[in-house]
Amino acid sequence: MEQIVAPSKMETFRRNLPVSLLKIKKEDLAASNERLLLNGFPNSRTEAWKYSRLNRIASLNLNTITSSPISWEHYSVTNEAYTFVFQNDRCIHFSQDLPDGIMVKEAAHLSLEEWKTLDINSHVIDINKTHAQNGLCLWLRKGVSLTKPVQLIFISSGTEQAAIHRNQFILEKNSKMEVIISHFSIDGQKNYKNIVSEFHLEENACLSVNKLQNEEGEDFHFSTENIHQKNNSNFSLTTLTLNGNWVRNDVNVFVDGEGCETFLNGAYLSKGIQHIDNHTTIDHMKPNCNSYELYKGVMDEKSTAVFNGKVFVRPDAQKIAAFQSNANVLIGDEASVNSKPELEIYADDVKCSHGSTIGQLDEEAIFYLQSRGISEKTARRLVLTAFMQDVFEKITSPVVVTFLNQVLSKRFNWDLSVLEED
Amino acid sequence: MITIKNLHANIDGKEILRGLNLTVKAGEVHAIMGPNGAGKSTLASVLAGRDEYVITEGEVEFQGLDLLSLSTEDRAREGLFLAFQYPVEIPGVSNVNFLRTAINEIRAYKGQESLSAKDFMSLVREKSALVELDSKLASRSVNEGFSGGEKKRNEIFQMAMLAPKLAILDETDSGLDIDALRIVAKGVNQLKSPDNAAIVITHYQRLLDYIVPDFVHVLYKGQIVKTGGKELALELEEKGYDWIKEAHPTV
Ligand SMILES: Nc1ncnc2c1ncn2[C@@H]1O[C@H](COP(=O)(O)OP(=O)(O)O)[C@@H](O)[C@H]1O
Ligand SMILES: [Mg+2]
Repeated sequence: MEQIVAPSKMETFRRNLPVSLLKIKKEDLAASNERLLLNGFPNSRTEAWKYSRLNRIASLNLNTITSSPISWEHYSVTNEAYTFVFQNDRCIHFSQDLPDGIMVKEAAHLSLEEWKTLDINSHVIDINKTHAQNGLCLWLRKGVSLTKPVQLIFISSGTEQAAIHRNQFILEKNSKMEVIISHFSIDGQKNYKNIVSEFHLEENACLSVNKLQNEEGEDFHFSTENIHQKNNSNFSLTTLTLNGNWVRNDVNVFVDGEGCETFLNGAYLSKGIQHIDNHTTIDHMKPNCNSYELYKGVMDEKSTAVFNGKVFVRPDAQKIAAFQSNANVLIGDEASVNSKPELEIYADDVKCSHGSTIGQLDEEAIFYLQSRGISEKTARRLVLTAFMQDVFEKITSPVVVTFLNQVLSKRFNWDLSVLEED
Repeated sequence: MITIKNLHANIDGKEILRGLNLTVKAGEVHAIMGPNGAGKSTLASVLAGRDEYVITEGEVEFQGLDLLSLSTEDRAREGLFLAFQYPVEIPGVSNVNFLRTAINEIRAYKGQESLSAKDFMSLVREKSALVELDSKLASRSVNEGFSGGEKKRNEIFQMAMLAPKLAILDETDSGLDIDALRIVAKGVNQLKSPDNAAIVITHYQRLLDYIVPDFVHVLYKGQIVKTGGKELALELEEKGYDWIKEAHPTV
């Protein structure tokens, strides 16, 4: 007699999701399917998901209906960029006028051999592998330096829509580029976004990624960035989370070459009932590298944040300098944050430091500024902006700075210009 | 300029000001002296609008306004300035930029146009020279990494920039060497005019050699218990506060 087993939450969740349109190795796909089936959604006993409960996501009734067309131009951070736009599950704009030395393809058009997938697993990556619809794949040829950034825009719209994409960037030797990945939502209601991006930096390549998360509405957002660095490469990622109902960022950097530099820079500003989770891992596999990680957050009202930063230094990875810091200011009485920096060092000749702080605004400082004639509101903004300044200062892209200023003044009523020197 | 009547203030249920009376007229300099813990800083804080203190009785009239009903920033905009006994450090907020914000908010309050960057910078140069504050310090983060003396000079620099009607200096002289003292005095004397006034809280008579007070008050257990001319400061220097304490065992 056959036993009737109720379908697991994961099965129900995936029921209406289309199968992946990407060509992924059969055994990889099978392994992902099996893990999802066996493990389901991680629960609160899983350390990596302890503070980011998945219940609300597991009970989404997702689909991919053709969405009503939108005009995306308004969401472009800059016109001086090679721009690729995705709305929910499809690509709605694909830049054609590319210079020599760069090749792009829609992910759905990649052959099996063209994928260079890093061996790293999570239920988010597994869902992505088994259901990805598209994405951008890009090769930057040897010695090519792009003068304009590549811009990816992901816009969600509608209700309970799934947007699952996979991007791949390959930077060949001595190449250099900047990428801006931005996320928006047009009245999104419980949409599910799962974007996995892999960046492969060959020798002496230099890549700067700015990730801008500014989703209105009630969406659930998962971003995964996996990075592989070879000798003397330079990678920097700035994650600016300025809005979003529920956001999870996973960043995994494999520093698999000597003489590399890695910069992870993050700012998260939240209010309402937002939840923002940043999980990062930097794995120093080879000697003579520097990594520098700074994440700062300001949580207002009832919003919550999570920071978990792991730095591994493997046994033979000598002469590593790794700096990590996470600082938080809670300005809402009911706001909270969980911060956990972790260092695991198996080499002896290394310089590593890490630290984490959680505090309130310095009321003495506010009073001091007010006593000089500055309104309480401006005083708070001055002190908060000063707190965030070292993260903001590291943004090298002028268009990203402009975008940041706009969002800060619109959403948070901040004005960064008060800090600028004349 | 300011009239304080029967002011009572407490913190955490502990009464610190217990019926304090003081009148300062335009053009005058008043010194307030008194032993540690008498309530001098409390008075300064209450006047500046620090809200940890609960005012249970009394009133304060400042240039015809009910001072206690104004916010801290509006008190400053109306011309009240407090040089703090312990100025705070504010990392990341530059001295000159915060002052520019302050000046422009004060000007907006008064319906005046913003000061141009150029005029503002020339004001910075003029006033930092007056208090011999290194122009590098002027553009650094507020008080961050400043020595004790630099912090106090920065207070006087800010006072000079804001040109208040009534300046209250809370032990600005403490911990200063004689040169720094002279500089602080210069800043205060520069501000002196028939329209302005100053309240100088101090432990030491020596500041009063440079800033000559019209009146000297002794504050003890939350009240002004004695008022005299500048010679009272010399007497206190000589005899200490014991004779005051003995005369007022149960204030
Ligand atoms: N924040 C506070 N909490 C509790 N007690 C305080 C506080 N501030 C001052 N006091 C008390 O009030 C009294 C007067 O202090 P203060 O005004 O600083 O004196 P002074 O400046 O004359 O030395 C002291 O007994 C002091 O301990
Ligand atoms: Mg005091």
